[in-house]
Amino acid sequence: MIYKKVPIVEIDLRNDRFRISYMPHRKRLTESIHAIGLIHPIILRTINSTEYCQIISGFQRVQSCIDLNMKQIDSIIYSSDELSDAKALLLSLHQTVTSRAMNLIEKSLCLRKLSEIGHMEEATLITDIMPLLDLEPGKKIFQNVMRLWELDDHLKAYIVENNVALSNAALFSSFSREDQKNLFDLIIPLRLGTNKLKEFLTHIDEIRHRDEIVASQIIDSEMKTILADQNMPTPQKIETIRKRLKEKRFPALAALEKKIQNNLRQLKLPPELSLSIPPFLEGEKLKVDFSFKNEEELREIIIKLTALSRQKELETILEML
Amino acid sequence: MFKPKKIYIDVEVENASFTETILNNLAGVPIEFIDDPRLATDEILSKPDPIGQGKKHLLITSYKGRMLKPCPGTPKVICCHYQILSPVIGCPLDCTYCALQMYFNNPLITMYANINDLMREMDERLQRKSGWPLRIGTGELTDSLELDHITEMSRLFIPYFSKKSNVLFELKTKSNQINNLLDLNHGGKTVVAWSVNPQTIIDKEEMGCASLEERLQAARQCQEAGYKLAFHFDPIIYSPDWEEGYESVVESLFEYIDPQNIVWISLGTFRYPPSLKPIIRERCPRSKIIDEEFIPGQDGKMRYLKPIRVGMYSKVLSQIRSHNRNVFIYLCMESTDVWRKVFGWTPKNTADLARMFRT
Ligand code: SF4
Repeated sequence: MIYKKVPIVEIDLRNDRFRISYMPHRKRLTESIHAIGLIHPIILRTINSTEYCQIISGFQRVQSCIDLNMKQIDSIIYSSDELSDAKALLLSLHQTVTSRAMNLIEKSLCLRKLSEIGHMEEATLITDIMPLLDLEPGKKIFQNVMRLWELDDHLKAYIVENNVALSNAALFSSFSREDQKNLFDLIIPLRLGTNKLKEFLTHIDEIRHRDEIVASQIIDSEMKTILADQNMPTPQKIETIRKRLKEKRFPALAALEKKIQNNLRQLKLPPELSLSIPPFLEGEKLKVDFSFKNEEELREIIIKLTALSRQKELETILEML
Repeated sequence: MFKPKKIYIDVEVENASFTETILNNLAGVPIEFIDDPRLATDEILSKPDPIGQGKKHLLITSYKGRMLKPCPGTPKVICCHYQILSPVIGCPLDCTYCALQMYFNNPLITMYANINDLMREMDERLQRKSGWPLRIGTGELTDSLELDHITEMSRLFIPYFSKKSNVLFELKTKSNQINNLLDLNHGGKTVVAWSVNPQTIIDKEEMGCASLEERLQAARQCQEAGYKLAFHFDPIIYSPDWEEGYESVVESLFEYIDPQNIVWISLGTFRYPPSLKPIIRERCPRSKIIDEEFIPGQDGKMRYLKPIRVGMYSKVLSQIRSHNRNVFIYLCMESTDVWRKVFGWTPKNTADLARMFRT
């Protein structure tokens, strides 16, 4: 190992065998190098039978130095006999995790490279590497993270930019490439939060499984029209599409709820009275809420309640429970 | 007949007579002695599909806690005061919907060899009086008969219960392994019960289990040996042709069995704890049973919509009643309003239902 300033032209910039960064934020790094220079030297390895070096760690720093028009860069250089691929990847990983948080796609890339290039066993990756990556060690999570690298590029970028939770990111990867594109077109304009994203993906996933269809057949023309509507505010679009998906996933429940809502409307309840149905119709009792400020109002409510008890629609609702 | 790939024996029970029985019945199966049962579970848990692997491996150890416990039931529904006896946990059969798949910490088929402790526990429990007949069963955490050729538990328990009063011992199964039972003195205290489903459901969702016909043939043999019988339509699974499916089960049942010998029939539609869903999805990706519409019930388990459950119960009930008007039928873990819609009446509470079972 030697330490020296290396001309940037001697670095093979296309060689990204050890790159584990994906869409990192480089602006602050460039500003920092500009202000006080490079604090940590980059790590290079010589490439046999060439005069070039490959980057082990420091892809972003090199790029920032190029942006700043620097010609050479402080480097630690290993010969190829000194540093195996596995050790090089571990060096790169340790350098990264000690300097910044890695995003999910980087974690996926890192695990894959350690497996494919570093020939590290799955069990070692789970027990030794996952905790380093701030991942709970476990086979299922390992498999989920590994698959993320295969996602459509747009989705990978979406996951990084929106800091999508692993459970949701993993759901994306259960879809085909074609479906991933369709999902991307549906989800991007809606800017869904974690819970809504999970609900959307789960419904679509379950409908396609049940009906043996693909996502593009679920995202129907009605949903596309809603998405394209320039005048509809985003929260309203989300609610309308959400309702549509729910109807497709739970058609019987949706029909039942609709029937109850129709009957409730026909009851024409006065504003001071409200009637609630047990969640999911589990239970046999309706709940009435009312408020009053004097005896007179209470007497009026009692009269209205008595009238309510004779309405046909109430009987219909009770029969449905 | 089931034969495990390997047997792990906790050194603490290597000389127990139950261990000897198991080993005699599994001659030739590789054995590993271990100081700590966790070594076996850790090994299985490290394999791909630990649940599937657990079904192929046997652990013989001891259990320090109580092996006879009341069924935990489920809140806000009517239960039946069942007592669960569990000298064996785990099952080599592989039903899609099996809740045992959630026992992550130990996927192995586990047999507890400290049987003397269990017998002492039962003696104590049976001395205590209860206001209703005690129903004890081994079929909640395993299949009661699928492993009987290895454990010979039936030969231990059936004669034991034959001399007890105010108690019924239930063996619940989806197998047809009844050979050990036929020559035993059961004294009318043992009920042999089969879970039944249409053959199309068995083919898709009850891997490794006996066919409907094999189950009913076995039931008929038990009937001939004088046993009381029970049948569990549980889980009743929704499919586009569920009506014809269950009708044909009822038809076959009454072709094989004299209703006089049936002490109870239970009905229970498919329900599952939410955490079972990802397991089913992963282990049985082709199964359709979780694709139906489920809603969270009052007890937190996922269930079909109430009108669908009521419709299924009512239909199966009327199919059974068209063959026999008297056989005792109850709903497993359902709320009072569902009872009322199906039967027109409801037990007041769990104790009330427990009293309806006759010894
Ligand atoms: S027979 Fe019972 S215990 Fe065995 S797998 Fe099926 S449901 Fe589970």
